[in-house]
Amino acid sequence: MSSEPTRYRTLKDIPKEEYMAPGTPLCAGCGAQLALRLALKALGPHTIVVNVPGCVALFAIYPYSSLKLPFVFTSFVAAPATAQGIVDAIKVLRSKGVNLPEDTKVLVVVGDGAAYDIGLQSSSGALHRQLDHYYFVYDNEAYGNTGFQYSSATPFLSRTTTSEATDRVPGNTFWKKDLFEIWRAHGVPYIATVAASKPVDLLRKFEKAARFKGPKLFLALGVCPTGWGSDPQMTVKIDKLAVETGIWPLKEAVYGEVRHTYIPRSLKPVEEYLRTQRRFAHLFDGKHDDLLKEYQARVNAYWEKVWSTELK
Amino acid sequence: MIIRVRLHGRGGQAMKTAGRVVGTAAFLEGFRAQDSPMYGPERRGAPVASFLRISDEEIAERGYVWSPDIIAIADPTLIGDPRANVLDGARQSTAAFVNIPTLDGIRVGDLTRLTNYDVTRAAIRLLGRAVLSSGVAGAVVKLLPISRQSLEEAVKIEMEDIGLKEREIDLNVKLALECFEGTPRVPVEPLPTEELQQFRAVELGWQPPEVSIGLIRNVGNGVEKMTGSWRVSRPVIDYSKCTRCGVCFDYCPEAAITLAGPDNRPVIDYDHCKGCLICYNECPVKGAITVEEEGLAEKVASGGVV
Amino acid sequence: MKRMLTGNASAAWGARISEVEYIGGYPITPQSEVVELLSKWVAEGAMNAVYTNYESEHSMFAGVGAASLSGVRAFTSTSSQGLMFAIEMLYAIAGWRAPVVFVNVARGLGMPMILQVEHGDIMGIRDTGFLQLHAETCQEVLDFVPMAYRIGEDRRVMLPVAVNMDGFLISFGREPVDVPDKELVRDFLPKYNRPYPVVDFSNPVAYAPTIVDGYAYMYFKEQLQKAQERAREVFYEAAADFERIIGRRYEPIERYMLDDADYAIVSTGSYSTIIRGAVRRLRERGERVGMVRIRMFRPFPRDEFVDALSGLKGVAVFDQNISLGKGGVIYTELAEALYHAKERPRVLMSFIGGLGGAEISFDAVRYMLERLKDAVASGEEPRNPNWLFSEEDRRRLARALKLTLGEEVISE
Ligand code: SF4
Ligand code: SF4
Ligand code: SF4
Repeated sequence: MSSEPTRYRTLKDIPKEEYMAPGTPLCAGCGAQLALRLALKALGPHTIVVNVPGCVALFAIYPYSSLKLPFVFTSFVAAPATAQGIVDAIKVLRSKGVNLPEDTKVLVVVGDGAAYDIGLQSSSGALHRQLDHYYFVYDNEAYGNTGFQYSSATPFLSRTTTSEATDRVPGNTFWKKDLFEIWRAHGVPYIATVAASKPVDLLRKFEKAARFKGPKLFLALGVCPTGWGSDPQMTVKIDKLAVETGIWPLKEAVYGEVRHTYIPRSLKPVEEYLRTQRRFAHLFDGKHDDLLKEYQARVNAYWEKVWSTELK
Repeated sequence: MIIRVRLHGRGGQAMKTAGRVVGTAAFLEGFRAQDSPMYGPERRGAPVASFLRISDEEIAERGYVWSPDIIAIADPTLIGDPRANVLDGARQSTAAFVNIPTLDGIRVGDLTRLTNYDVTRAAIRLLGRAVLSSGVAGAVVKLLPISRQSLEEAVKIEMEDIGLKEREIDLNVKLALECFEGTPRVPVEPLPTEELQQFRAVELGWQPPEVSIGLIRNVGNGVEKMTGSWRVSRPVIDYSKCTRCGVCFDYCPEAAITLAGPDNRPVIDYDHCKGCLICYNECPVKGAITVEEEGLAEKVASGGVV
Repeated sequence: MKRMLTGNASAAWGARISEVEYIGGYPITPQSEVVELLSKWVAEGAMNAVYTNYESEHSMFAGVGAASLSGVRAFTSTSSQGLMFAIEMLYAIAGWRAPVVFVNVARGLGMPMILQVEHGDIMGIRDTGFLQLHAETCQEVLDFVPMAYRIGEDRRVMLPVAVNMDGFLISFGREPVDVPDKELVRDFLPKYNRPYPVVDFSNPVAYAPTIVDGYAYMYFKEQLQKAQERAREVFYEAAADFERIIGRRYEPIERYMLDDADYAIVSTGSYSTIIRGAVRRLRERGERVGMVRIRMFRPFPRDEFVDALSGLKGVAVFDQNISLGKGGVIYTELAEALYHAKERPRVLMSFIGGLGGAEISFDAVRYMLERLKDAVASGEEPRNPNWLFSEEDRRRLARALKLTLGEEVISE
């Protein structure tokens, strides 16, 4: 990525403008909030935000709103379709001579519940129609707003309130759904994963995305102290660990062509990451070593492939 | 006679469980009882409440307790927090329990029947954490016609229900009984049902769409919410050590740090800083950010307790 | 200029002469022709609008709602299962106060699946906040679209509108329809002017914040109701202008042969044509019977009904829908409307029929009248609802049951 021209070279280049007013009702130390705050800095003031039920819905709790941007709240399922209506309306308005800023953007902000589960059909439709919009998923890997229930983004072995760990089940027994690949199959111009602990990478990806017309999709890890049972002050550290253990790869796909924007030469053991969170605490009683090995093997296998294709 | 109790705490302080312990204790004592929590979509640290009615007659009421006979305040900083509505419907004769070491200098509106105990210290000593449910329940039970035995039994039932192990249950029983013993009793005077809030109907009429279509024109007005009161720990910047690197600004999820002046000096907005301490954890310079426990005295000074 | 048009084509023409700027489409029988025509006209340039094919009705309603919220006149149409799938979004659109207009082609609701007409779908959205206009003819379908925009976009209302027509009978049936000139319609229908469109960066607003307090939630719901109530006066103004400019006059209810009547039959939709014809014949035979037909179902034309039906001896309500566990929806709502009328009809009888396009003949209407007269004469409370199930229906059913079950359950 370093070869491409960019406004964002170091942390010093993070814009000072804020589009989110402090005083939000989100949890202290919320990773999703941090990732979104950074994303908005890259997107700028001409951004219309479409949002659905989820933690970020707390940005507009009557009679307060925390975003200083136009905002529409829509039904859980329908964020991409709502964005479609707005994007199409902008087309109509422009054709009638209504003056709208050239860099007007429509940004969908949804959690993993909406993106991976209930709203997947609607987003598949919008992606297929190559809707010119930004789609930002804050992935806290469960239904955080309703008390941390299982979603198809919940990682292997995580405890949630609907996938409890007992002496009969080790928490969630399914592997996390690969939304990145589902998106990629739609042939869209730009997809990226981002992490709040790597703000320069995050900002550059939004900067790069602006070049493309069509869907620009972002999957942001949302470290969730409340649901994950982690220490709020560790949010950025945990986020970094997710990247450095290889559990949360940083990558992008331009018209389907995948490239990792950060390739660790060696991986930290997944255990280091899992131990920071109570949702995985049950794994460290000595009886789950096989499963931990399986977890590590899966992460290793992913990176073996990356190393062999991208590190030549 | 119906006694109406309202418990105020912050998200994460387990006031729902406190209400359940008292509800179960009242039930075991042979009363009719009703307990219910109320929470909005807000989070850990935000004001929450739970409600309780105990009675020897039919309870023809539900939900929010608008006219409390007893108010229990698990966190004294709530008293001055306008969003907590601690004094909603309270009258001079309403009894109030405050979780605080001393009542010296403490005013809760114009309430006269105040009582207190330092539940937080007892909880930290016994449980190692400021989990207040059993302690606040013990203190509230002291003000009600409920026996020590029922309290003890109720703590056991409710703690088992939330999945605590035997040892933790015993410690919670200890905590409840300590707070029960330690809280001075004050008289409680239930309000007759007829004297509950008066109802006068009003007609609003049609209003134009600019008003009635459910939008916020004042975008960004969330800044009026003072989330600084959520804080238990306060990050403090030592400008003599700070290198102005800006990392704390970068990683503050709340946008509670701004970079000011030509030298980009980080300034923490304490009205909104929630005290997550990410800035402290991420600051690369040792000692540039230190952590202070958010003293009650300071919160009183900043208008927390009136 | 008159031409032969189906109901579906009339709906599309209604959108075209209303100069809608945005159309969302998704196919469903018996509605698909509406979106087929509109997409074709947009593709040909005959309409200056954006047309988008959605992947579901839920998304389609979200899209047209959002476009309307952005200040663009938006249109769509659907039917039956599709409407039910989208119903969550209908509440959202009404709550956004986005004056979308959509045409519903009424069709029954599975299971069992059916393609033919029933009003369960349109009745199923009666609580959403959408205004409702019910058409009997292709002409009404066409006329009601610009009427709907005029009423829904009025500052006093700002609500979405459903225009209903009956599947197959109207959607696919053709009759001569007058398509008014665009110029005339422009006179009738001012440009859509949304307060605070969501795309306005000089006045950024946040739409539909989550509400946690009952008092505020109740306020916004009450305002929706108040806006519905004001739609009544706006309907009359719009109807007067429509008559002046385009030359056809519409009332919230149609009153037919009510002068000196003792009895009346209440109905909505295309079967009213059959009922009207029967009423005329019965009149010729000396029966003092009339008919009332619903054109505006939301807001419910309560005062109009009280005025039309006061003093009658008995009223029969023909419901082509069933609220299971209760009965006919129109019957139930009418009972409430008449409750306080000083001279309310002594007997109100409920008939359910025509579900799934089941046949209603002249003789079925005569039967309703006879039953009604009996009830009035006996002075006893009638049993409700009464199903219009004929002997011929039973014969057909007996054959079907024998085929499906392999034994004779009902004798032919
Ligand atoms: S529950 Fe998790 S994702 Fe939601 S606001 Fe709290 S920390 Fe953030
Ligand atoms: S991170 Fe530390 S050194 Fe850097 S600006 Fe903040 S306080 Fe100063
Ligand atoms: S403690 Fe958290 S909220 Fe407060 S300034 Fe530091 S990072 Fe921001």
